[in-house]
Amino acid sequence: MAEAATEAGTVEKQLLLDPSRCIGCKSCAAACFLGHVETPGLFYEDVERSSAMPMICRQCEEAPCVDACPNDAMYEDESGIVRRSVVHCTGCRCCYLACPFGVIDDIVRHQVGKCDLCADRTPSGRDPRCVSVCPSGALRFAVPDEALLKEGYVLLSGRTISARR
Amino acid sequence: MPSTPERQLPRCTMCGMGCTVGAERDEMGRVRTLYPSDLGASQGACVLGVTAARLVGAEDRLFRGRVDGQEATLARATDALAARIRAASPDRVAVVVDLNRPLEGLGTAARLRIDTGADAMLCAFVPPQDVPLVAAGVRSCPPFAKLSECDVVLTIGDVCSSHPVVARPLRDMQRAGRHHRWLCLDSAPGRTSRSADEAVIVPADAMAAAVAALAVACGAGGVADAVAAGDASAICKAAGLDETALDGLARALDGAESPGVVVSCSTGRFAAPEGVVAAARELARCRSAQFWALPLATNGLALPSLKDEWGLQSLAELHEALVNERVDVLLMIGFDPSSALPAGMWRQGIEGCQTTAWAGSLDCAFAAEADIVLPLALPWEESGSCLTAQGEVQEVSRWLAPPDGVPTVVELLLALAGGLGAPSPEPMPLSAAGAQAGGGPPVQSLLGPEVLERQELTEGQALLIGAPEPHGYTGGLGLATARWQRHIAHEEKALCGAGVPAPAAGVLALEGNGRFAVPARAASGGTPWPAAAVALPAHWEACRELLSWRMVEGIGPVAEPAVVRVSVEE
Repeated sequence: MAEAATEAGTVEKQLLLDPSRCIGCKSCAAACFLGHVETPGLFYEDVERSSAMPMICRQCEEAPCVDACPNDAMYEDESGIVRRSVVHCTGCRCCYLACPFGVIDDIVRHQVGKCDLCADRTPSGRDPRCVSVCPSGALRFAVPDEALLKEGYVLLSGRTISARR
Repeated sequence: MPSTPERQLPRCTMCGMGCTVGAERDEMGRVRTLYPSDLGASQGACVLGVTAARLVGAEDRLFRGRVDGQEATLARATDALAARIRAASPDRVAVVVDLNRPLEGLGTAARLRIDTGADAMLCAFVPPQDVPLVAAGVRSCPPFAKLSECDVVLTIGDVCSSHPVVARPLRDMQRAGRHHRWLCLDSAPGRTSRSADEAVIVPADAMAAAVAALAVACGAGGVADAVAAGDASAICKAAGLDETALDGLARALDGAESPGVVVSCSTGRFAAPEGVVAAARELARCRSAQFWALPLATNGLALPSLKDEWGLQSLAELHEALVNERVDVLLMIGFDPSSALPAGMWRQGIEGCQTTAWAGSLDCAFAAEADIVLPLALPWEESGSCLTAQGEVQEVSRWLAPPDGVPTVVELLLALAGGLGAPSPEPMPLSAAGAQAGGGPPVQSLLGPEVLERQELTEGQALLIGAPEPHGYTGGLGLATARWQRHIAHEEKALCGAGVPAPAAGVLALEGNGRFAVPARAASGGTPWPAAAVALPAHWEACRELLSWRMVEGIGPVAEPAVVRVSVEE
């Protein structure tokens, strides 16, 4: 479990989704796309009742995509976020095949797209872009306490991510 | 929901919700969106505001002026415009200012007209989608957060596509109690109907009749008189509607203690939108329900007040003057007629003008026809005052400074005033900008027996089918925003057959702001993309003029996509 030591201490937050709140507006996809130089890390699957559901990296503790990558393009940074190096990625799609959750997008301009939990934002305490823009409150970046789980939120990213308070 | 209006913050001016959204430049000079939480505001934004930041660096951004087809500096273009205005008779000059940006620009134009003593026409452009709301007498909405306090809410139209931020209070409402219900009446399956507890889909050309029947079932005698029908059954029978389904909605509303009614009028979502809004308003009155009629543009609901205070003419009056060749100089500021109006209409309008001048932010088909082109700041590159749909005056900070040499509306008009030898105008005050709720014309003047017959849908919207659902909100936006919205939401990859006969994939472009493109891939070589088709409701002949076909570099020969005519029912 990665932690980022700061003066204010650490806060462990996770990406949570309440599928029943999702309206499929794809504002999250738009925000992700724009915020990552037009390379998406988030895409959609059609589900019953809702028109679409965001599919986001689970941030596995022992990430199969990191093991599978032959070019060290997939790595875990100091905050514990599994990330993709734009420089080293060759679009071989080994990570796409290795991912047990199918949340890596295959080939966008010869590279794969993967959620990095907005690593340029979360270490400083800001929410990921998808959460920031969700108009229905379906996406949350929070400590998964009992109250939230009772409300109907489910864990979307499957590991603890540390962020400064 | 959007934060309180008294704080001056960068805000999205796409619709009247007033969400706190901004932009910043990163260390590499790229423009990035600032979200509500980044700005210390409550959560509330959507893909519209996210798209807006992207337009700051759009490749079709206008930075230079043009005079008679030749590139020119802003100063030269402004001087040329001033010279042509001076040469014309004052009563043969017309100016149209986009209302969907800080109001100081329009206020400055109004003052300039007074200061010069000119008898020029001055109009405010309101998107066609908001005209029905204004016509029906809508002036403001209750606070949107109060949606969550209702126990039963009826939404009419695809509100979740046109105004995604209302989804939060609606979802909160659904969760608040076992008997809380979200009812939906729409013309096609969509985000809203899927999100609701109970949805009734009616043909687009019978929506007004459906809402009228519902209103009569809820006791709206005025509606019954207007459509000359005895009861809801008679209306349903005349319009070919399923009475049972509508009866279910009426019973749900009947049992509500604090109901709400929400209407969204995306262009082309249903016919007779004035009648729909009027009937919905009467329905809300009968049930003592709170009533939200959602404008698709900011400031739109202020138009009647501004017309009175600032002496504006209507666009209908302007169109008549243009058609009868009573306008020699036409100046359009801030909006693109070629994306908002059918080509036949705007082309006809400028034929008789000696000089057509256009001030805008993104190149477009109208700019190509104009004699004088002036670059203009985007609405979110201007600071000033906007009126939210809730009737609040909101002080809006600009997201970023406009590029060098690109003026705001106020700056442009000040320069024009200098060229005309007029004193620098101060904007007209916004004393009457605070909207008053209620009132409006009687329902009988907006509804009539004709709603029970087939009505023409408002033109201006193409349905891109082959997507998971008809993208009803595409026509509710300027094409520039729609283009980027779809591009960045990756929706071009979502095209699929959807049961419509479609030939090969290709690239479709909508003219107007030029390059609303749905890229696709050739079937041969590489991964075949799903086929693409564009469906146009059969009535929308003019929309076909907006369509053009072009190749995308590197894709290879592809066939033109099918343009098929389908009913919006399915």
